[in-house]
Amino acid sequence: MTLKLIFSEAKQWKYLVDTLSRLIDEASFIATPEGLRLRALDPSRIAMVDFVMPSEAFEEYLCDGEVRIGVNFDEFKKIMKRGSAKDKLELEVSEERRLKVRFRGRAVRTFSLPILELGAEELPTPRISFTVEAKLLSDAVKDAIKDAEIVSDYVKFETGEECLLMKASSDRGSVEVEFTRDSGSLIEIDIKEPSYAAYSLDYLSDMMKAYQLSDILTIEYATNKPLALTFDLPGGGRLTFYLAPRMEA
Amino acid sequence: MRQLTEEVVSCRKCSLWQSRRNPVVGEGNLNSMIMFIGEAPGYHEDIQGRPFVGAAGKLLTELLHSIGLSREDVYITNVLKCRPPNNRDPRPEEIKACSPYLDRQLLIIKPSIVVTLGRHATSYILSRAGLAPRNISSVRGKIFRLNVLGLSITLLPTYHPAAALYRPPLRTKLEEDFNKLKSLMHERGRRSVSLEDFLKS
Repeated sequence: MTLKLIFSEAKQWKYLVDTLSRLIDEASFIATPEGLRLRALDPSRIAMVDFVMPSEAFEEYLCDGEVRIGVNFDEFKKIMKRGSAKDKLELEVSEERRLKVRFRGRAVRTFSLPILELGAEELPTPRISFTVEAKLLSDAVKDAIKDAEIVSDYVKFETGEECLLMKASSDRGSVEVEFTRDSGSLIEIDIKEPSYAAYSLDYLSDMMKAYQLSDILTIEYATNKPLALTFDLPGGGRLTFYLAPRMEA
Repeated sequence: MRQLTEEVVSCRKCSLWQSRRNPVVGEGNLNSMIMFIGEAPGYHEDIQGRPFVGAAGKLLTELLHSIGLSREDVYITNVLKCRPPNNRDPRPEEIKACSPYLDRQLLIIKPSIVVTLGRHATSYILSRAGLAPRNISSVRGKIFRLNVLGLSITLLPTYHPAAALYRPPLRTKLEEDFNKLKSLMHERGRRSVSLEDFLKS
């Protein structure tokens, strides 16, 4: 099997791998002629990552079959952090089943790391009927998560009149953030029915590190159902996080 | 628990019985919803036969008080029941030999919240849930909903109090994690779900 991918901006992958490493320890990228994908649950089974990058998103994409690339994300992150702003990124699977990570910039720097043989089971897509879908500015949501962390460990999502509310409270205090079209932070919202649900800020905070990958994110949720956070990536790629709710008894 | 204590006292499953003075089974409220699991007895624990009675134990007691709990409100134990010489790290064969006692303690206490103190206790509980060991710094303060020995538990890993004695900045992290424990206790009316519930067909 041959696999060689060239991505024009190593920096994007640096942010991607940094975000993924916060949620998952080990997982396999699956490369096919159509593109690269990864789906994995975090160790606590509260969150899931679903990443897709079509072959068109790459400057060069050579893949003649299905290739599984199991990586330890702590180790992969250390390497990816070495990517500079103007570097191109090249990923290649060698005949010795090692992943070669090459940065092409002022010099050609090649790292090599072992490919892990991880389980072949593929996770299905979560079966959720979302009742709210909102497109928002990523950095506005990131700021709201930071605000909520000051007073609580979890945040409630609620719908208002054509707006989305994030509320957090505890004996330390409370905070409410309103996203509206007028303020510019809310780009689109589709509310099928009024919905509310609470989610862990620990996980949301880790997921929102992906704000550097996309200016806009899509939030989907339903009452007491998981939340989906989707970042659209350049070239038709997509990074979605699912997060289980904290349910009222 | 009395029978388990008698078995630990006469245990010869590893070599630690030869060097220890007293085994340390654990102590606290057998009906508690919260169980603390440390690594192994140290010098003072070995002498007194009680868990967390040295300097690290003093800090643990202070942290409990800071969130309105006393030692009598919780159950405290360790992965190993006998002191390793010179407080060295537990060896895999010692954990393997001793952990059935901890498993039985979990089944007796049936805690809904388990706080693991340090990497050894955290790795053991994660392994019982079928998960790989992880760095304590990457999991501390994170909440895991796990199935361990058929029990649905909320796991809150944190640093071992002894680590904060050697590295004072870690005390702040420990305090943060104990505040998280306080929130978890107040959440008893809440139920958490796993994302796996939404992956089943």
